[in-house]
Amino acid sequence: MARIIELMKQVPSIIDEIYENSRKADQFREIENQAATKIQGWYRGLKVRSYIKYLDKNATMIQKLWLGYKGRKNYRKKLEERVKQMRLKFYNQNAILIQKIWRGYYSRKYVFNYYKRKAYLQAIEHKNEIVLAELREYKEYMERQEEERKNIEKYKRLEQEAKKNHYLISTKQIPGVFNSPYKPAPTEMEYILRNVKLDPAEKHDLYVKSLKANKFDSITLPNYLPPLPNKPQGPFRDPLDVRKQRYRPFSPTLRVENDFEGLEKSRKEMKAKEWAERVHDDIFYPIDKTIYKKPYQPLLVSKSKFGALDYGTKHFREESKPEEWQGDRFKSLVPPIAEFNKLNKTYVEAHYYLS
Amino acid sequence: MSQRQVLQVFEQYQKSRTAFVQTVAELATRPQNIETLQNAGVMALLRPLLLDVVPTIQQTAALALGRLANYNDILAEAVVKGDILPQLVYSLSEQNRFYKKAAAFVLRAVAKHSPQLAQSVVDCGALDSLVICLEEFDPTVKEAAAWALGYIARHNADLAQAVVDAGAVPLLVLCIQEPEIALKRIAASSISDLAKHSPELAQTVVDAGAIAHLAQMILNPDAKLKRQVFSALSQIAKHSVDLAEMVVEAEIFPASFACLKDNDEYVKKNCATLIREVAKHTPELAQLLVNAGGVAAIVDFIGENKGNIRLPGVMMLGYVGAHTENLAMAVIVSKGVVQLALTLSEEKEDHLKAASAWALGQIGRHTPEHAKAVSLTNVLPKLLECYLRAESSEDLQQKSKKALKNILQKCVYLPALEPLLHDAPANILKHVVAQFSKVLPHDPKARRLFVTSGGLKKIQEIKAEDGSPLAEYINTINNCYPEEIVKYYSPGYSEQLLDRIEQYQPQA
Repeated sequence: MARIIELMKQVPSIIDEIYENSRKADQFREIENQAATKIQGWYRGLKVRSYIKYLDKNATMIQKLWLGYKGRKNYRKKLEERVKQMRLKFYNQNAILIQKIWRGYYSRKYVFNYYKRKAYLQAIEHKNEIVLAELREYKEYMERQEEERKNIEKYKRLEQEAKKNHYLISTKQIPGVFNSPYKPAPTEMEYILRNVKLDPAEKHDLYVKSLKANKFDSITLPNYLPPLPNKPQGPFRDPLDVRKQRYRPFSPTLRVENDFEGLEKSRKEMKAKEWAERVHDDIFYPIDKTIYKKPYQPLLVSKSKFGALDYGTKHFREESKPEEWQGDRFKSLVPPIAEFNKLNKTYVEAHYYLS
Repeated sequence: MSQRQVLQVFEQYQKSRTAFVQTVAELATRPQNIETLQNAGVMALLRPLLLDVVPTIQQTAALALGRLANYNDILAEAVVKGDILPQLVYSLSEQNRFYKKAAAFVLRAVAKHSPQLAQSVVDCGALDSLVICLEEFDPTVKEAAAWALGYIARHNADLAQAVVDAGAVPLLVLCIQEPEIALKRIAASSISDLAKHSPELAQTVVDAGAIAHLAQMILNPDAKLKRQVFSALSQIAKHSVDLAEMVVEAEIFPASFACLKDNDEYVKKNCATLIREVAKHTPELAQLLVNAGGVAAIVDFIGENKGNIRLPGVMMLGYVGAHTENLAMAVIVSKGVVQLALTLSEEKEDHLKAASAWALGQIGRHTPEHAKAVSLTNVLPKLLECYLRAESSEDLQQKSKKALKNILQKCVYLPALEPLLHDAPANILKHVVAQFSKVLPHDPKARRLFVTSGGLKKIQEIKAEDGSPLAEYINTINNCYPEEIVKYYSPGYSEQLLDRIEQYQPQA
């Protein structure tokens, strides 16, 4: 109760206070109202703004993703196109290259090849020069031969002349007509006259011929002086033949020409020479002989009977491998069925299947 | 009368017969005696002597007959008419070798003159006996027989075929292989006569293996043999490509080029003929010759020789140039054109000129390059001269016209064409103007030069019918120039200008 009393005691003050408070409240209501409105406004504003911000953010995100997706898609498309273009360009270029090379090759081979023609013509010119030089040489050679032949003929004629006129030769006392003392040297004929040797048979022939040629002489030819016979009387051989045999050069047989012990001698000589020229008594081998003792180990590549690999040069696809490289082949343990092996090997009449 | 006295009469008779035939044979060697001998009835007297008991008289009588028959065809005919041939043929297989030789000589002398006489020799059955003579051991008999066979075969294909049918070819080929030069010579000549008529006959000769043996002898030192060998090879090669290839396969090139430098003229000529015959068939064969340097050798040969000898060389160049433009170019680089131009101007005879004109035409007709090379040697005016000269033969005129046409149609080298503008007749001028009309629209420099050299003026002076190709060409040329220039060079321009003076009214 004390409490109530105490409170009761305080009532006026409380009422005062209440009045005071309500007065104060009245006094500040407007301000507070305005403040509350302001706070609410601010708050609501804040809320809406944050919501809008949130929405904006979401929209941006969506747009970002969409645009990214679109962009990438576009990019891919463009890239594809670009790559296509690039490839096209590349292939076109290569096609042009191939066509260019082919056209060049074709026209060079089947239409016209300027450089080849030029080279060919040059080669012909070169060949022509060679041929002409050879022909010139041949011509010169022929001319030389001809001249030589003429010279020989001329000399023979002169010699014949000299034989006929051998009496024109000069003697020690009287110079001949070809050896004029008023000239520094005798003429060529004089030398020929000096060199000419008359064969006895020929001498006689000449004599007979001169007799025949001079018809006047033949009329006055004394009968008691018969021309010398060509052949000595009697069973003799032709003098020319005899002369030939007499002056025949010595021609021994091969056996007579060689020393009887020549073979042995030459063998000995060879041995001695070989012995003298030898540097070392041991026989020299150009290679170390021990290497022959090792067993020969062939290389895998060289052992292969296939030689160089076709791969990479003739084809690029792997074809059946050589058997050496495969090791042992898989073998089935199941015995083969004999009937199957006959397949396609033995001939079976068609009606066998039909029946 | 003793026996000796009786025999003496016979002896005397024999002696006088011998003397008679020997004298007649001797007299028959001189042409001036022949007529006298004929008038004296020598034929009738010699005929019984062919049947004489003494072989020497027989032989000498045959020799005398042969010499007489050799002289002219009337006497040869007299021998045929006198029925002497069967007798000879009969004894050809019976008698000794001297007689055979003489008999073969008579047959040869008769057969030489005409196909009819040769046919009459064949009709007597002489071929078989002659072929048997080819198998004789004695080379001189073989020679005489081969000679007679050759003379029979040379007239025409039928006679040659008859000789072939008698089996002479293998024996002739054997004769070539004999060591005697004279026999080789005659056998080669007979083979040449056999092969010249037809491809079949040539093939027969080739089948007998003649080419290899002939080819061996091309470098033989004997000139006369070489003549015959080259002649035979060219007669074989001339017929067909196959035969020519057979000849080439015997590897006669380039060895035979050496014979183009031989001292003997006929060797040179026959060798050139062989080369020509080989070159004319196909481009491949011609190419082979060109590659072996044959063109240079031939050009050299043409340069060194004069007259008829160089004719085959000239023709060979023409044939080679005619095949392909490549070969024609080879002829040009081998200086063949220069040599041909020289031949054209040097030679006097029409057929040589015609041959060189033809060859030049063949070389120049391929491309402008060829035509330029030909026209640079200044042959166009010469060809024109050959064409226009009144005394040129028809063949030369035709050939030079054709050559000119061929060269002109390809020639774009204007300096060479310009002289022709002034002195060519209408049918040549047409081609010249055509070339100008082709070149001038594309070449400004040439246009200028054409005016300054007076070509345009000349063109204006040409009177061409409207609508003719010539008028068209002239029109094309005129279109390349401004109108004033064309007018200026037109013939009546000065009068036109003067007329304008009269019409002009001075402005007061």
